[in-house]
Amino acid sequence: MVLYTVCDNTTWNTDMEIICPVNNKGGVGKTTITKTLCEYFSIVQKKSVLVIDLDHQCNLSNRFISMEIHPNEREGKLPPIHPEYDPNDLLFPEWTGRSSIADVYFGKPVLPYQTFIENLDILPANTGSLLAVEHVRKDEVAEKVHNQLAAFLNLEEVKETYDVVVIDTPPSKGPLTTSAIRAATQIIIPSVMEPQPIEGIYGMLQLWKQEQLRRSSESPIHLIGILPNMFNSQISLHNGLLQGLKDNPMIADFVIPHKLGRRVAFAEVDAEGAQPSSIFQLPNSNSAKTEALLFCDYINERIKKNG
Amino acid sequence: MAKKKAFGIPKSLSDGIGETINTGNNNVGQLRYEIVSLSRIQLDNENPRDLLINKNDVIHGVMDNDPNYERKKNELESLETLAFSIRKAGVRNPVELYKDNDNYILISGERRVLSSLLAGKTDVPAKILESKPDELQLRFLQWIENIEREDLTIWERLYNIEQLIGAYKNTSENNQIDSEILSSIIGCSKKQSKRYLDVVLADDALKNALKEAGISDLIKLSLIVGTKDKDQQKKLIEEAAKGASREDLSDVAKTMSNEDKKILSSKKGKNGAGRPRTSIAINIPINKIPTLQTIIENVISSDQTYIKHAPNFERVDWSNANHVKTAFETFLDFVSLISKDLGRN
Repeated sequence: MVLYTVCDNTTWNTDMEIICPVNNKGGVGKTTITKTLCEYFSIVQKKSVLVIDLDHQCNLSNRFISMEIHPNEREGKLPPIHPEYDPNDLLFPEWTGRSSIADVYFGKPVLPYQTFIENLDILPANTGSLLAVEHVRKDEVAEKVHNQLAAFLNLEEVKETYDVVVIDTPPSKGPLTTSAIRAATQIIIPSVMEPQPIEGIYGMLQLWKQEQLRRSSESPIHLIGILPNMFNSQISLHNGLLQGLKDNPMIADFVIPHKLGRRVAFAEVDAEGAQPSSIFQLPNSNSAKTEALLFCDYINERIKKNG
Repeated sequence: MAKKKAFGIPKSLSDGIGETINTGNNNVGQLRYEIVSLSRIQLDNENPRDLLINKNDVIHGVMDNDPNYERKKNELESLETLAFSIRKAGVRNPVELYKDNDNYILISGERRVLSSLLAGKTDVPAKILESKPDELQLRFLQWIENIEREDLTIWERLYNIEQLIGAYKNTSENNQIDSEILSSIIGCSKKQSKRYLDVVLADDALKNALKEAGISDLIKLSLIVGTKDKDQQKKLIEEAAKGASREDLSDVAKTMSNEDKKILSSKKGKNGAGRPRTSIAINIPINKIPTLQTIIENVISSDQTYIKHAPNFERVDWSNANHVKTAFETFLDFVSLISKDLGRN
């Protein structure tokens, strides 16, 4: 058993890809895309994948492991006791047996959970602790938070274990989202083609630019692009806004040419005891699977090209 | 039925998104600032430093037996003002560094680094170049930093240029540098870069003499260096040291070179570039006219062939410059005619 602890001696160049769907507007499909991508890389590409849930709502965590209801916090959730936890282990006496990505921000060691998908591990959310991190406002503390996730993901042990990391971010421009972008090698901005989420694209691009200018040119944050999500070609608002983005030559190259529709199949696989439990385990004739594959293959190609 | 509504993105938002993508993709690393420990920063001694004082002097105080005690003490005092503001508001503009093994070498920000030490700080905000810049780039960065500084002397600037030239020769295949190349490196006019180049390439003895004379004007320096005659150079240095203006100095140079024109122009005629010369202008100062008269009269009376032309010169008014000019031209004409005749015989 290895518990990962953040230390100062991190090297920053890495072959591990850190993919981050971001948009500060909620309900644009960040969690669905995170889920789709991490399953694609582990099931279809057979890579070793770590998925991280930074959203205190814990939806993504809940899909892969059974989160527990927090005894005191309303709507608060906790990761379950880790299957490898041994209360008699003298090596980590302070560890209480639950491991969440929030621990990284408090300088505590973490241990990812295995999921029901081979090659896919998760570091789940923890409502209370993540909210505490998100509400950090003091400058010096915020700066530490911003760097912490990158420092963790750049640990040699982490880089040796995983090929791909996918991070689900909260719908905000707070310290957690900044920390995710700071750690990222690739970002995707999913958006519904509606006015508010498009404002969100602008907000995220500002954050991306700000981080990008601080990067070394050897490790930039590649902007894969804007993903038109939950797209309905019957709605003229969707068509009009998508066309509006494509009409600007400076944006056109960064509009992902694949759309994910609003499909019930994406939700069905989340249901308790669902079989199959991933969209990529559906038969090839399934149109939701085809759509997801097209999108994920495109992302995979773009990452290879960027690399 | 109502007409189907068309939707679009407001232009300002579309522009904003487009420009942000563009800026982000084209400027990776442009704002890469970090906080660096002062103990890991080394001053670059190759860079013409304005200050004599070093990190040790700031940390431990200037030693009593230091040969530059007075100057260093003054510098320490001048750093106090900046140190005061650093204590109050920190270092506002990051210094520039590049990494050298475990340490950093300072590209710009000497005063900020020393004053931070004086203010008791342990680190300083810095922009870090990703790798050691190549020699030419490094010297160029120092040049840009220095050119803005009014307190840098012309000799410090020239030292900077000298290093730029050295770096250029080391990094490019071409080990010759001319004013055109230099002007493209430092971005000044060709005229200005020629002046820099002339002075930099002058021999050390001359440069030392110029330094000692305290001449700090590039135009004056290049004028003196451009004067090839050693005695004339000496005279110009003396004049400049006495405080002659650029105009005064160029007047002096002109007068002196007029006296030497004959020698100079014959040299130029052979090696000078451009169209071959078909004539030369000879300027004879009024006070040399009697000499000219003597030459003409002597030549004419020296030989039978010449003597028949003597009457032509008897009517010359030697106090009239125009007469003298015509007389000299006529003299040249018949001397050359006669020489030709002699040659034929």
